[in-house]
Amino acid sequence: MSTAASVSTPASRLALLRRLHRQRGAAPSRDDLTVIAYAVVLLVLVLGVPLARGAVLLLASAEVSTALVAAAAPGWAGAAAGALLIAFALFGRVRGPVALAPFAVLLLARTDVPRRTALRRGFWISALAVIGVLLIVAGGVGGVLGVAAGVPVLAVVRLVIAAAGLGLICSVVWLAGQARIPGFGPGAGAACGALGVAVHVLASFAVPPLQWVAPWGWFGLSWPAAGALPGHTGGVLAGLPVVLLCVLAGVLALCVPRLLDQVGAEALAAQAARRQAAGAAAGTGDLTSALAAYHAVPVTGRGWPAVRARSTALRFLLRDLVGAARTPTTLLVGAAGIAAAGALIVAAVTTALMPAWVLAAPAAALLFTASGVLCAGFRHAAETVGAPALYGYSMARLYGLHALLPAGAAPVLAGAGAALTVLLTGAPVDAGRTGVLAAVLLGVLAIAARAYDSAKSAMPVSMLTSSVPTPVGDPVMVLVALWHFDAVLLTGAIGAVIMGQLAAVGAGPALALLGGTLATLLVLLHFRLAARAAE
Amino acid sequence: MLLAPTSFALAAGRALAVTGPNGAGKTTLLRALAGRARSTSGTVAIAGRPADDRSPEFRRLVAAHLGLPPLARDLTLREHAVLVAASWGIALPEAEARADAVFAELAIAHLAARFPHELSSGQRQLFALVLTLVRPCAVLLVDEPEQRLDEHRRGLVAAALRRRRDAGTTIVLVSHSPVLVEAVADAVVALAAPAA
Repeated sequence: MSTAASVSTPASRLALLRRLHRQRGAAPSRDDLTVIAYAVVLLVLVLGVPLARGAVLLLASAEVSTALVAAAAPGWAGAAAGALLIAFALFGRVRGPVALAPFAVLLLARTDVPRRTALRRGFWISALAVIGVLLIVAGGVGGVLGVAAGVPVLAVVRLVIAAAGLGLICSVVWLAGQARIPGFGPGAGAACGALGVAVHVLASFAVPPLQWVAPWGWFGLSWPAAGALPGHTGGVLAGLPVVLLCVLAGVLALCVPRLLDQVGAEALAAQAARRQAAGAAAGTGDLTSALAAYHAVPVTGRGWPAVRARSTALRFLLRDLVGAARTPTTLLVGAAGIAAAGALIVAAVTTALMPAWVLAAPAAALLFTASGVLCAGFRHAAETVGAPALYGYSMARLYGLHALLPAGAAPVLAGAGAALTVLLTGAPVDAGRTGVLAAVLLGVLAIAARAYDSAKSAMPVSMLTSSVPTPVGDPVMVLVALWHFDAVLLTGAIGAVIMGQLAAVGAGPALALLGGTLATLLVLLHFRLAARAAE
Repeated sequence: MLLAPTSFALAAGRALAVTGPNGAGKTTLLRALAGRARSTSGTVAIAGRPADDRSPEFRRLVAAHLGLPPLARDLTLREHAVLVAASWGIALPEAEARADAVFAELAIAHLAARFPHELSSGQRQLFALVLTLVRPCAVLLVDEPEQRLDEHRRGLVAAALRRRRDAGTTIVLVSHSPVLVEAVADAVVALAAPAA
């Protein structure tokens, strides 16, 4: 009787369940915690400290600190906030703020305890993490700007509070995605919403008062700009956007219990199973399979005509385009990523702060990553190697047909992103032209690298069976990572060199290098396909 | 992979069933016939040509169902079938009609608008057969098509194979189902159990 009485309330039942869960070995042991702490300290010392130092020095430089408090900065800050909100809305369907282990789903979400009670702790831990990260970033940026650009303390405080409000709004939006609220998560609704945010952000650059109508605009208005935009407030109204953000965050926080009730146990279980599968694959060094667990499945466009064209080339072009559009969010994110890479390439050409290759390498890597949504055809073509003949085409022709969409779209999107950046930033014409040309060339390079990457076979087991323990970990794992990410690293490195040639010498050597690289990648692709066929 | 010495000749429009316990080499034999596995001794010839998957002529001649074929996650089942049929030179309207006919033959027309990830294991098995049957061929190799299918569906598969045999297609069928073997095959090769 006493036991029944002690677990009669939902809170006490949850406490009991959590204790039982820990007792069955789910909680990390003292040894586990020691290893984790050791790894964290190493990561902070080896990577965190140099990166943080580099970031502070970069922010404190005259060029960057001036740019961060320029008149256009609030517009860019609003754009970043809008992009962050979209990202969280989409991310919820893949990995929501309530992330439980498979067994914990059974214990917490499949009982009669209201989900607003059972899942509350998980949500608020994630929300605090988001808010904390944004607070640290805003505090860091604000602090550096205070020292380097003379931004008043009050403006920095406003920025930090706005970041906290934005963090809470992001967390609730994230939860809405996990709760499958219509319009949040992959689908046509979210794609339209994302387009709406993008249009509003662009319109706000032309008509700054438009920033007042959206929360991401309020964050932009909270940014400590020195030269105020016409719509940017100063004086008494300076704190109003922060107040609006905080009020909205408070109202949304009141919706959290209802959203938690909407989170389905099946969705939680599916996310938990996928996380576990990806974790298990990553644990064995199979990073490709770990990432594949998160490949999007089609969510719309079942009735769209994908294979109706009579011309074979047009049929494959439309087939790949319709196929990509059936995961609209992934397509949108990919297209935005390619365009953003174009923008980064223009920044690489125009900045005097650092050598061009420093930004060109990540831009090329981003191009490679973002173009994946256009290159599903390559992966499918590679999968048919070694299987009984499915299509009546040679492998070279199948690859050629599947290359039509990515080879056309990626350079165009990258070039468009670069051109738009030149127009928005007023970059010098010559540098802008070089940036657009570089974006197009790197777009071609990224697609060739994608084709090469698609034919990769399984990782040799010998790479995982050898081990060289050292005080800073096992370097074999670095080789494993290199094996998995060779194409993206190659794209980044070659892209940086091509960019450097283009900026320093001219188009001729850059084109020659690109041509040589493409030929090499195609030869390597041929050998990889032959090796797959012989397996 | 081991396969005991096996010899047979099969005329056009005839069906041969290969039976035997697990590990006897049935799938290995089928892979050799499909040009996917090289035998260390002996010869495999289909229509007078050596079995070699690298030859385009051989690929046109032989269709093989050896497990689930690679599927594109972004295409519906009907689109898969139409694309495969059209890739073998069939005009688009005919490819569409051909795809619809095979879906109807296996009684899965209602699945035509689904994506591959929306199928059960039995439905996947039937769809794999659709992709094999929708393309033109003179020789059809089929490995355990009865897997994961109920009795009714096995009957549909048997009828579909019999129809093709009667239309002149040569069939080699690996199966553990006596009903399927009885319904389709003109002759049977029974492979012995592997040595312990």
